Amino acid sequence: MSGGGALIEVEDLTVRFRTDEGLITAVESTAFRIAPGEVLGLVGESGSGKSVTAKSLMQLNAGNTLYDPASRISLHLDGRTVDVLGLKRARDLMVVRGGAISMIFQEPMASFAPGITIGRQMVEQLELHTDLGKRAARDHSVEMLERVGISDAGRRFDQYAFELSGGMRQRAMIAMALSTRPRLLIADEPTTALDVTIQAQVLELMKELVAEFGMAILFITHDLGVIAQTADRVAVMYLGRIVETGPVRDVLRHPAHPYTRGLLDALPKLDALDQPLTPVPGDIPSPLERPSGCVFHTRCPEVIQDRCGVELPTSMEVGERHRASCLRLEKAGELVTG
Amino acid sequence: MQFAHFVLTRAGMAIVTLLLVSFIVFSLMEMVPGNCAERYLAYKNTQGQGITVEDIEAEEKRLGLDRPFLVRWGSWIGNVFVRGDFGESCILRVRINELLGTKIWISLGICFVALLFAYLIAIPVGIVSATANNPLANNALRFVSYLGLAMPNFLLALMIMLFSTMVFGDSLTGLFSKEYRDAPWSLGKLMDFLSRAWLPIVILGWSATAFALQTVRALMSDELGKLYVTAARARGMYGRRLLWRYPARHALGPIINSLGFDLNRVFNELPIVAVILTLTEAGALLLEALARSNDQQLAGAIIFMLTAAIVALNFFTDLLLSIIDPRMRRSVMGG
Repeated sequence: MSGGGALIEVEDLTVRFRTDEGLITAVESTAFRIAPGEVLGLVGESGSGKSVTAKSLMQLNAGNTLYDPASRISLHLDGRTVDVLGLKRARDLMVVRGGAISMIFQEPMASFAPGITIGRQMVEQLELHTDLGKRAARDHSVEMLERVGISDAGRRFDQYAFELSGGMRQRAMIAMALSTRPRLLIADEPTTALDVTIQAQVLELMKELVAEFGMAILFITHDLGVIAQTADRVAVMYLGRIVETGPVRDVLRHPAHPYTRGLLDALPKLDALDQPLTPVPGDIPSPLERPSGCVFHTRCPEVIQDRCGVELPTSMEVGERHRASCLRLEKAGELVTG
Repeated sequence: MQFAHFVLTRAGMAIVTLLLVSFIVFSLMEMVPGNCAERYLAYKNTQGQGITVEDIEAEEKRLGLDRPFLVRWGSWIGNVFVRGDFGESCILRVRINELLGTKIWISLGICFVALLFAYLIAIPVGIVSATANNPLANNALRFVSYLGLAMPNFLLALMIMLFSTMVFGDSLTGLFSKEYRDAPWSLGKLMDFLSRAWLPIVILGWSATAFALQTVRALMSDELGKLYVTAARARGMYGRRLLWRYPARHALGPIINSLGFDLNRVFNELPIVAVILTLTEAGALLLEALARSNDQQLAGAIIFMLTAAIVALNFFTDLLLSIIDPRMRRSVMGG
C-alpha cells in the first residue's frame, strides 16, 4: 500500500489565512498520503488545523486562504494525476468536489439546505456529476438511502432535513456523499453531534461501506476512541503540524510523541476509573502567537529547555511506518518506548 | 393537497383578521361622541336651521341608528364585504365610495409600486453586494443606502422640486396637469398621470429601497456563512446556480415577510410626501377627513381599506413563503 500506489498525496502543505491582524498560519508543512481503500484518522484538538487540511483537498477553505507555493496535493485517478491546488475554475474543481472526493460534516442538520428536500439535493448532485436522467437519478438516490438503512426511503426522499432524526440525517448525508461513488470520503467529525448509540451505528455503517465501495476515508475527529475503531492509520495533528503518524494500534500502544501521550492520558479508562484524568496542560496557543521551534513546546511536559523553542524537530522513524517529530527522539532515540 | 389545505387555512385566517379589524374600526367610529344624525343636524344648525329633538330622532331612524350596535356593525360590514359599499359620509352626505373614488386606489397603487420597485432593486443588488468582495462598490452602496435611510422623504421631495424647477421650470407637483385634472379617464390622462406619478414613487421607494437593501444584505451575508452552503460547494455546486438555489432562496423568506410591514410604513409616509407635492388625489385624504370634517365614516373606510390591503399582502407573502420554506407550511397546520 505504501509507495507509489497512493490515491491522494499531500506534500508540504502550508495554509495561511489573510486577516486584519495579519497572516495566520493554520497548517504548516504537512504531508501525508492515503492509499485506495485506506482509512486515515486525523486527530487533534479543535484549532489544530484538521478541518483546514481536509478542506484543502477540495479547495473549500474561505476566500482569504493562501496556499504556499510549495504546497502540493496530487490526486491519482486511473492513470491520470490531478494537481488539486492547481485547479482554478469551479467547473474544474468538480472532480474534487463531489466527483472523486465527497465530504460529510459534523452537523448533519446544518449541512442540508433547510428549504430543499433531501431528494432534490441528491438529484442535483447526480445531475452535476453523472449522466443519469432525472428518473434514474431519483431511483439511484432512493436506492442509496435504502442502502444506508433508511426505512421508507421513497417517502424520506421527498422530506426535508428537519423532518428526520439526527442519526437518519447523518445516514442521508452519507448516502448523498456516496451516491457519486467517490474514491475518497472526507468525514469531518461525522459522529460528534450524535448520541453514543447512534454514533456506533453510523461508524459500523461507514466501515461496511468502505469495504463495499472500496473507497478511502479521511476521518477527522478529536476522539481517539473513534479512531481506534475505524482507522487503519492515524495522524496526530497539533497547531497545523502532524507530530506523529503510524498504524493505529502501534500509535495507540506505543505513542512516541508527548502530545499523543497527553491525548491518550486524557481519555477515561474503563479498567481504572478511580484514576484521575490527566489533561494536556494549558490551552492551545492563539494562532497569532505561533510558537517557534517545536509547536508543542509551550505545553510539553518533557520540554528540553533552550532547544525545543528554537530547533524544529525532524520526523523520525520510531517503528514500522511509524514516525514522530520530537527532539527527544533525535537524542539517540533514548525515549523511544518499546 | 397539502398546499390547498394551507391556502384555505391562511385565507380563513385572513378573513377572520379582516372581520376583527372591521369590528375594531367600527367600534372606534362609534366611540366618537355623538352619532351621525346629531352631528349632521348640529352642522345644519350652524348654518342657521332650527332643529328639534324630533328631527334628530327621525334622522336616526332614517339612518338606522336606533338599531343595536352589533346589528349596525353587521350591516356595515355586510355592505363592505358584499357590495364594497362603505355607506354615506356623515357630514358631506355623499356616498363614501364616490368620495374615495379613485383616490384610495391611486394612493395604494403608488405605495405598492414604490414597494415593488424597492424590492426589485434591493433583492438583486443586496444579494450581489453580499457576495461581491469589491470594497469600493460596497462602500458606495452603503453610502447611498445610509443616505436613503437618514434623509427624510420630505427633504428629498423638496430637493427634487427645487432642482426640477431650476432646470425644467416645472415643479412636478400634483398628479395631473391642469388640463387633465377634472377630465374623465382617457389614454391622454393616463399618460399624464404616469409622467407625474413616478416622482412620489421614487421618493417613497428611495427610503424603502435603502431599508430593504440593508436587510437583504445582512440576511444574505448570514446565509452565505452557513454550513449548507459549504456542503453544497463540496458537492460541486458553483456560480449562480449555487447562489440562487441555496443562500439566496433561504435569505428571501424573512425579506418577503417584511413586505406587509413595509407597505404600512410607506403608506404612513405618503401623506407628508403628498402634502409637499400637493397631491390632492392621494394620501392627505385621511388627515383631511379627520381634521376638517371630523368624518369618522370616511376615516373608518380609509383605515379599513389600508388594513385590508395589508392583510391581503400578508396573505400573498405567506403563500410565497410557504413555497420557499416548507417549514412554514408545517407550522400553520401543526405537523
